[in-house]
Amino acid sequence: MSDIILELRGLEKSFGKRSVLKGVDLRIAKGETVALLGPSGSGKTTLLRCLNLLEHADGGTLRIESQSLELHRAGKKESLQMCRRTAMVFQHYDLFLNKTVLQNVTEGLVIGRKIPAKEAAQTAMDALEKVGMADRANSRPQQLSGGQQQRVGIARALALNPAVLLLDEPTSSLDPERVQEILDLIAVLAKSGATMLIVTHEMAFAYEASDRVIFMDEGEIVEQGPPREVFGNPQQERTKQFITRFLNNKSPGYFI
Amino acid sequence: MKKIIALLLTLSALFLVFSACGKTEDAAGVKTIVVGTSNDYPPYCYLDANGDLAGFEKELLDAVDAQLPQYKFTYELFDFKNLLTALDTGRIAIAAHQYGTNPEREEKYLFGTVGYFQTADYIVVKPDTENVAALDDLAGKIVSVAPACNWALLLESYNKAHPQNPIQIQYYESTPQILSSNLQNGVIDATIMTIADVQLMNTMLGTQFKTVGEPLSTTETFHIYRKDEAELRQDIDEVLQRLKADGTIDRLQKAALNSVLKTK
Amino acid sequence: MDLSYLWSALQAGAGKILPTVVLALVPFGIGVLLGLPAALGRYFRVPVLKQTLDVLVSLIKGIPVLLMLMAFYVISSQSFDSVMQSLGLPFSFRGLPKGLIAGAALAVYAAAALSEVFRGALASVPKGQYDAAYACGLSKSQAMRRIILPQVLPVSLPMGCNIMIALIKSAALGSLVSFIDVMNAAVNSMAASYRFLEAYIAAALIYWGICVITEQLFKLLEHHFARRRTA
Repeated sequence: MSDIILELRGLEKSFGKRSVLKGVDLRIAKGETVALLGPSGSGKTTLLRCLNLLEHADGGTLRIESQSLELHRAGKKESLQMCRRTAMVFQHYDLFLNKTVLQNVTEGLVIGRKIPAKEAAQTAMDALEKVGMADRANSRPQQLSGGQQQRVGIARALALNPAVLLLDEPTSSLDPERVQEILDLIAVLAKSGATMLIVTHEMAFAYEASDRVIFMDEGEIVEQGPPREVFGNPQQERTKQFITRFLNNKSPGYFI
Repeated sequence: MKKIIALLLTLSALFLVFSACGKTEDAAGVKTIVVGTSNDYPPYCYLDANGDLAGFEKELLDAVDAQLPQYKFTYELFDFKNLLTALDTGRIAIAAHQYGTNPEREEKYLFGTVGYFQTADYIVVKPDTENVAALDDLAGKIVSVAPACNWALLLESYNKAHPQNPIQIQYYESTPQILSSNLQNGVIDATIMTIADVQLMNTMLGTQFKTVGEPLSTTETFHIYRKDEAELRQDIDEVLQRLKADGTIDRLQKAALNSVLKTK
Repeated sequence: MDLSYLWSALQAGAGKILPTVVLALVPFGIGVLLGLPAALGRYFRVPVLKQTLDVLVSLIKGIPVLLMLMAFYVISSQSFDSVMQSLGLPFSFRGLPKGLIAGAALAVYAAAALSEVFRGALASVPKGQYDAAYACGLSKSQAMRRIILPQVLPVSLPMGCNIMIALIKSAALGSLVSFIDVMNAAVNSMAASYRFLEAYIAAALIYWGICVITEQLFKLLEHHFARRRTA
């Protein structure tokens, strides 16, 4: 792929003495959907949070679109600027509890990006339309089900029109019967050309909807490639184990 | 409505705390009489070095008790303003705290008929103060007295009579030390005390405050009883009369003052 | 108990409702203005500031309001004049309204108590709210003003109400520094008649009334926020 929209080199991060990310390199092309897999504690979520600058990295260089940043010595202003190139969908939705659905979506537009209120409201309604929540624009987050809240969470991120959309286990807190509708929604977004990096445990979804899967373990990228290759013919022992363990937990033929 | 019931319950509980018995009788027919006083008005009532009640009020009533075999006095301590509430509710039978009397008070309580102490109240100022000899000289000045005492009343009634140029009354409820330092530093201009009070304060705190002019009032102090305790009052007053005549009261009072001054 | 004395004690006490409420309200306001930044400094562990505030708050919480009042009075009676003189200001302790001393002591207490309330309320805001705000491109101060504080304030209301009521009741301690509140006005009015029981009941009724009204006002505010939250 030629049009690399995100390039990360040598990302390092420790919490105290524990090294969580040990020099991670990552490139994502425009329009690509990348699924980030791996056992819990492998550093997937931390990687996502470092890309969004929610976590302060100890080392590494990040380029998104035309902006480059040395992560460990980023100033406030550049950090904020870089942060605004991505948007994040959270495992626990994390909608602003003091705002309506519409205000949740416009907040980042009006305050973060200084877009006029009227225009922001239009953009927000379009995004809510896309996720099927336009009719609940004036509801409060507390009045919505988990699945509805996550739809709004996705609309909130989409409206920001990010270069890369980061999704952190977007279906992990949902009731099982709600999982599929959110996955379907993300798959539609993927087809429509959004650039996405998704941390997920939904193997079938990663297999079906992503252009590439990355398998992480213990703070490193162990293996990556098109889903058919990684799932069908894993090259690394750790990848094999992970996929086998996963298959044993599911009925045979669950995804291939 | 619930809240009003709760309030009433609380108030009645309050009464229970104050009630219990100010008077009990044992098998031998000796009645125990609970006397209420406070612990913060030396030399009349205070706690001695051992933390026991001492002072003129107790000395005198002990002397009375010695001559009344049918009674046995015990003492209980209250904050000055709560003493009469304790009397109202029957927790104590006698309130002894250098009480002066007036018609309004006699409406509610029975006062002793024998004044057991003469007090004269004076304006008290710093040694270098001049031109103050009477209440009129204090108009517009700051005079500090304890709230709800006779002197407060005296000043309030002066102000009522002279609304165009009143005395600025500043109530203090803190310590004599603060009163004295305020007077010394000119934060207040004067206070009102008895001669004994001034003498005590000067000795205890090393000040040299002086009384000026004629006494503002001379009052006698009395014990206070509930309205239905005429018999108790009569028994005590008879003894007081004798003690007054034979000079015992005078002697006890001087001794009390001296013992406070000596401990300093 | 004599109702006519109760009535006149009520009247005397009621005359001091305004100064009593002001003596609680102004320190409460100052307490909010000081307590909120103090809570933020402590919650976000601002170096030095946090440790200093921790010690200060624990100190203030550990001192009875009564003692603080006396300390303020004694200290200001001894040093107010010389401080004013060195600043060249024409104020003297003699002319200083004693309510100011009581107010200052209560404000210190209110700031410490409210900083604890706000700290607790801050802790009740889920961490995800910060993440979401930053991820939407809000700066730290924008996130605080627009997302976090609007959630902190409603949560603080019930405890804030308790502190307001504690302040109203503390106004009665003002008599120690020659401030006349509802209770002392009622008691003083009964000096001639020695009807102190009536005075206390009158003061209790008035204080109770003030506190009930305060509680209702805070409840109204709570309902207001609750409606906004779910409507």
